[in-house]
Amino acid sequence: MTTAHGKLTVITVATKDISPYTKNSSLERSAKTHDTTGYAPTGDATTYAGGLRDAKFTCSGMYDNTASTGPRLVLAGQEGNSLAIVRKVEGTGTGKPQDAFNAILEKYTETNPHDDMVTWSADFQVTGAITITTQP
Amino acid sequence: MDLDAVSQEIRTALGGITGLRVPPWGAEQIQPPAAIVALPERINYDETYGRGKDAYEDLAVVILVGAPETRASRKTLAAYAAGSGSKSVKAALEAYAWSTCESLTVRWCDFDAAATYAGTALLAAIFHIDIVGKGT
Repeated sequence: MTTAHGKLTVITVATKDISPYTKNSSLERSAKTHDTTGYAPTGDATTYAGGLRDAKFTCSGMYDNTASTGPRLVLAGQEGNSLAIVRKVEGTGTGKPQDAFNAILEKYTETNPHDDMVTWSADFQVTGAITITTQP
Repeated sequence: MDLDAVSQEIRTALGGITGLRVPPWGAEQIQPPAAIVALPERINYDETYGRGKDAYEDLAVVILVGAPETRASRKTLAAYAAGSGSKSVKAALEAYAWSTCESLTVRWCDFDAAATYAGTALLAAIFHIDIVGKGT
């Protein structure tokens, strides 16, 4: 077992590598649960059955107007569209894990503080399954 | 970013202010008014994923004018500390088209009425600068 530093993370959106402009990202996987408790349950305890899986993906970073791969060029105007995302949580390398999924861009935000760098953030709703593989 | 290259380019930018001398680091003698490009307080590596961006935090540029107690020194220093104008350090640096970094912001300026250089007492203004550029 070993730890991994976040700086190695690689994020591509629609095949564009936005990693150099990204400071933070998270993939939240979840599932619905269904109450299956009947009358007189054992130990008076509620029971559940697992339901459909769901996921949210968020990422954010430092604004950059680099043509074709900067966050504005990749994300602005794509709200409501489904985009192919690849997330390499430990970076690029043979044997390292990779998540691939399609996600709908729900929100793209650019924030301009008066005393700091312009930043951006994006919220995605994952649609369909997340394909977990190992990088070749 | 290369610290020495950035410092040299800051010297070039400051050299655009008429009458302001910009001696190299370590000059044994200076003739005021003069600007000394000092070191940043720190370098923040890995501001984004994949060595995308680094940041120099609080790089100091020290402007040294004449004797601390004279009215002329104060007046000269005020012109350099102004937010705009032909002598404005902030205006000169932020209008410059940088090639060694991506963005440079003069955050604030403070003053030292007891500065010395090579044993000579001088009135000083210290400009605090934040710089962002590529990590590689």
